[in-house]
Amino acid sequence: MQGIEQKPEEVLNKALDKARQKFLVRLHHQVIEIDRILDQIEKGAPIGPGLSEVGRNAHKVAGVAGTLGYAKLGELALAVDSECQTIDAGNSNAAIMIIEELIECADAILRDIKM
Amino acid sequence: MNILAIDDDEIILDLLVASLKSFGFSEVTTARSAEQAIEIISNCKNPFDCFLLDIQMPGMNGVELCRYIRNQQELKVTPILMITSLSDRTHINQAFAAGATDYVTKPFDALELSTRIRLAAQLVGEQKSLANQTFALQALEAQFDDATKFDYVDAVKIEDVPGMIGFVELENYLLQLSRLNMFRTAAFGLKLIGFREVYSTCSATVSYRVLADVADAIAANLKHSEFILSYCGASEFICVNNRLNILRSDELEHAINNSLEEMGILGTSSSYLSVVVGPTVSNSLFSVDRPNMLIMKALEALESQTGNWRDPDVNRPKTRLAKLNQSAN
Repeated sequence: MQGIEQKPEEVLNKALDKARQKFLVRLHHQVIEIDRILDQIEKGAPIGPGLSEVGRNAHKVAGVAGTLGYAKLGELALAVDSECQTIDAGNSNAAIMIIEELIECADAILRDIKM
Repeated sequence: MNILAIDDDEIILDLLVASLKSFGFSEVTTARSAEQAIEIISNCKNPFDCFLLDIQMPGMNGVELCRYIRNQQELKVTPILMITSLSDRTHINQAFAAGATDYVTKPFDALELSTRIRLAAQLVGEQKSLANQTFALQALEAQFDDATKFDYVDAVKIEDVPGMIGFVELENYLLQLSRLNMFRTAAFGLKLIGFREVYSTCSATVSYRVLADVADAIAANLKHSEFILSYCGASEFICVNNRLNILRSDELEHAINNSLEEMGILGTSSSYLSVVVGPTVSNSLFSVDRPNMLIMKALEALESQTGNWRDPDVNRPKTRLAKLNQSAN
C-alpha cells in the first residue's frame, strides 16, 4: 500500500501545531517562574539578578511567539528582554510594569486554551 | 543543499527544520550548542552548504562559532546566516565582522528565511570565482599570477583583517539595519592613492598584499571604535561606524599614513602610495533612502574630495554605483 504524500504546507502546519503545543507548555512554566521572581523582588530580593532571569525567559518567548502566531506576546517579550538588559536597579518600575503586562498577555493565551 | 542549524532552543530548531523542509531544503542537521556543532563539522564527510546560527547561546556563542567556521579552509565562503531576536547592534556588528553573510531576525518567517538562504547561496556562488582567485593568489604566489589577476574594479574580499568583511556582506548588513540603527550609522570612504600604478605594474599577488596591508593599517587605527570595513574595488575602501564616534578625517588620514610608512609601504620605489580619508556621511532619522545608499553617499563624498586623483579609466557610473542605484530603485 502506498502512503499518502503530504503537501509542504500540511507538513509545515503540522510542525507549527506541534511546536505551538511545546511552546505553550513551556510558556506556562515560564509564567510561573517569572511570577515567583517578581514575588521575591517584592520581598526584598536583589532586583538585578532577578530581572536578568526574567530577561532570559522573555528572550526565549520573543524568539518563537511571533512565528507561532502570538505577535503581541512576542512584542511584549522583546520589550521585556530589552528593558531587562538595560535595567537601572534604582528605576525598575518601568520594567516591572511591562513584565506584568507580559504575564497578563501570557495568562490570557493560556486561559483560552484551557477553555 | 546540506544545512546545519544551531540553536539552544529546541522549539526554534523544530520550526527551522519544518520551515526549511516545506521549501524544499530536506537535508537539515541540527545542533543544540556551538560545541556540538563543532563536533558535527569536524566529523562530517561532506562540508555543509549553509549554516544557520543563533547568536545568544550558553557556552560558546554564535559569533565565536561563526569565527570558528570561517577559519576552516573549506568553509571560508559558505553562507552563514545569523538568526537572532537581538536587535542589539553590537552583536550584529560582531557577527558580520566574524564573517556572517546575512542575518534574519526572530521571529522568522519561513518564506523569508528560505528566500534568504537561496539568495545567500547565489551570492556566494558568484563570489566563489573571485574568492578562488584570491585563494589561488595566496597559494600559488607568482607562478600563475597573470592568469589569476583580478580586475582593478573588483571588490576583492580581503581575508584575515579584523573588522573587514566582503562588499556584498556590507550591503546585507546595511539593508538589515532598522531605521533607528541606520540613523545611528555613519560611513566614510578611503582611497588608496597610487594603487592603480601598483596594480598595473606589479603582480596580482603583490597588488592583493598591498591591499591587505593597507586594510590592516586602517583597521589598526580604528581599533578603539566599533567599525566595519570593506574593500569596494578601484582603490576604495568603505568604513561604517557609529555616528557618535565620528573621527576627524584629517587625524585618521595622518595616523593611517604614518602606519603605512612604518610598515614600509608608503613611497615604494615604483610608486607613491597614500591614503585619503573622505568626509563622514550619515542619514537623517526621516531619510527615505535605501540603507545601502549610505555607501554611495560616502563614495561620492570621497570622490568630491579626491577629484584630482580620479582614476581616468574607471567609469564608475557604469559599474558599482549604477548597481547600487539599481538596487535602490
